[in-house]
Amino acid sequence: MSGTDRPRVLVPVQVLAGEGVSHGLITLLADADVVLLGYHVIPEQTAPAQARLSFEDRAVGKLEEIETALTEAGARVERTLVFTQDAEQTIERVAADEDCVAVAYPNPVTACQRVLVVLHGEVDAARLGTVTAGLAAGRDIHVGVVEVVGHDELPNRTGRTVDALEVGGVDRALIHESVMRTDAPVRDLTVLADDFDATVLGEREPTLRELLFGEFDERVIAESLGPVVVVRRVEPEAGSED
Amino acid sequence: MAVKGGPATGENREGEAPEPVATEVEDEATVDEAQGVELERTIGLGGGVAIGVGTMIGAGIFVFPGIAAGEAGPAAAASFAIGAVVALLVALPASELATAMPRSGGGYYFISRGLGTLTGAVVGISLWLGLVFASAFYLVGFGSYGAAVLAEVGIVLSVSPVTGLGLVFGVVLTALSLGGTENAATLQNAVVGILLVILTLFLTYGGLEALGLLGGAPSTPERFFRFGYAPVFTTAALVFTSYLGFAQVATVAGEIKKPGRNLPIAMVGSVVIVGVFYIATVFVATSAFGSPRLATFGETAMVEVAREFLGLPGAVAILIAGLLATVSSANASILSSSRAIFALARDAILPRRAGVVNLRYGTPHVALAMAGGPVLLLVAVGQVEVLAEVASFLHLVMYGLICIALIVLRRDPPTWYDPSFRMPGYPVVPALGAVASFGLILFMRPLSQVVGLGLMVVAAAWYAYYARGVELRGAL
Repeated sequence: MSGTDRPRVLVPVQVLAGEGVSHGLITLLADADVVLLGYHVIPEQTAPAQARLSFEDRAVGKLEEIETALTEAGARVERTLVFTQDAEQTIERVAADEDCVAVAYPNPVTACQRVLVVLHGEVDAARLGTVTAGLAAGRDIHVGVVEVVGHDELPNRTGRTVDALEVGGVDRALIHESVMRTDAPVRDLTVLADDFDATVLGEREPTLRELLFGEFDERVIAESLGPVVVVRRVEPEAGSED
Repeated sequence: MAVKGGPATGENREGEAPEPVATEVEDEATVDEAQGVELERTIGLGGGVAIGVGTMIGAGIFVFPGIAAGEAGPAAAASFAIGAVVALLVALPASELATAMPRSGGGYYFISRGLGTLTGAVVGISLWLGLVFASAFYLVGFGSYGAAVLAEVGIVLSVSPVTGLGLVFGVVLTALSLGGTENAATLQNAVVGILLVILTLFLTYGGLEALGLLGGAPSTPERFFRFGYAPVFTTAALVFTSYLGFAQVATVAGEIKKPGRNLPIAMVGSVVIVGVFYIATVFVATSAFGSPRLATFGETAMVEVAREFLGLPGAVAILIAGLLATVSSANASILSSSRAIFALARDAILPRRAGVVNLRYGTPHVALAMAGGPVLLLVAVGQVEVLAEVASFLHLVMYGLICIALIVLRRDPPTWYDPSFRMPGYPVVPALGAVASFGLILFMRPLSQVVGLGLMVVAAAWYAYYARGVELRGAL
């Protein structure tokens, strides 16, 4: 985090594909340091520089509208426009370069009064609480904490998240705990998430099963109706690949 | 010979000025801090090598061995070796320049910045057209393999299907590029991997057989320089088309990750890899048949070589490999050609609209049409040797000038000139590279020289008419 207790959140927007940032997400990010990442994906036949030549003006215009809306809501905004052949690499790279603690994937939502924090797998429960508190503290936003466990497991991490939320300034009365016992977490969570305006997940190593069927966070993002904030894990030191 | 720094300036006939390019080069992106715009780099080392090898390997192995052996005998192996040496002499300076200027456009970019707009315009247009000739050459090669497949399965046509097949696939490739196919690079990498495996197995077996290590008698030794020394050089000029791909790595320099490290390795590495394969191929092929007989098989001589060693399965494997290799080379060349057109349009040497990208498919349709269209015309002409030599001619001019640009930039470097790879052997190696590149041109047949020179004159005339006002020299 950049010296303040405002969480630094990356908001990737596929700006020329008609994506925008909904009113609900703008409300959620009112107390955040937002890195607004406009990106445009091009096929391998096309050089990113080539796409820039054709689309820069249009993309910047669109991005400025979103920036204005976020700034008016109270967020601090920096904006970047990237032309890329690989959206995943771009989001990961910019999030790391800009020291973002979380990535908010913008699905449309109109209001923001309830946020769902999901504890699933080996995530840093306290960190999820801290980042969420940075967004929700001091405001009339309810925070639901759901711990997802298998049928024969015991929940044991909700407490850490709740503590971190309270330390971060979220009113205890606005925090609601629950446990979900399920074998189909993505399906059941997206049903539960429909009662909330935004979902907070933790990034983690995929399990073997997830390597085959798609990573948990990606599937939740794809299935969710509302925006999904993925809290990035703290990496020891990113290894270099070619 | 002062080279000025600062942005490119001046206007062309339509009042368009060169677009400024993003300045800050990072490992995974090019960053324009002032505008807040970044260009992601997504091609790793493997991808870079695959572009180089994939572009080159189609020609040297699957088209040339029969033709080259017919002209130079077993010494065709020496012709390929000469080609490899010339390519390496150029790959080193090209690597240094590419790490100093890792931008789309490759050789054109270095030369326009090092030697000025006129030279740059001539080279840029030559690069575009050189790649068009190369694509046409590969497509004719593809047609030959397609025809051989038809012959293999017993379909007899009254006219040769070579040109028709080349044309059809030229249209298919251009259309696929226009549509923005997904995973094209992944597919290309896989194809290159498969090719290398097939070739390694085949050449190892054929090599052992030729040396008599598998029990059979060693093949009758043929006099190495059976046609004398001169054909070794004319053949080197002909087969140099087999080495054009390393510079294609530089045309995507703007998309390579960690360009300072990956560009030199990919360029030099791909030349070394294909050079070894080519020399081994010619050795095995001439051992199997002797060059006079090999020459009668023409473009698909390798199929007969494989049949000799491994029977029908060998012939089928090489037929499939030949189809894959020629089509991937043609495809890579059409794409590189469109990159060259874009670089020219960005610098206002061609109209800006030549470089535009459509929003729906995300592809540069005008540039692809300007590349794919003339390819079809040339496939219809169908003269393999002339197509190959003109392609080589236009590239060799660029290669020689790359070497000269390096010397000019080293002697009086602009402030931004800070390559992360500095080539060894300066100034001898780049000087040799320039002499060798221009020298090889002298060994080509007169028709190719006339066509090549003619195209350069047309390019210069276009510059004089359209882009005389544009100032690129020394601009980053």
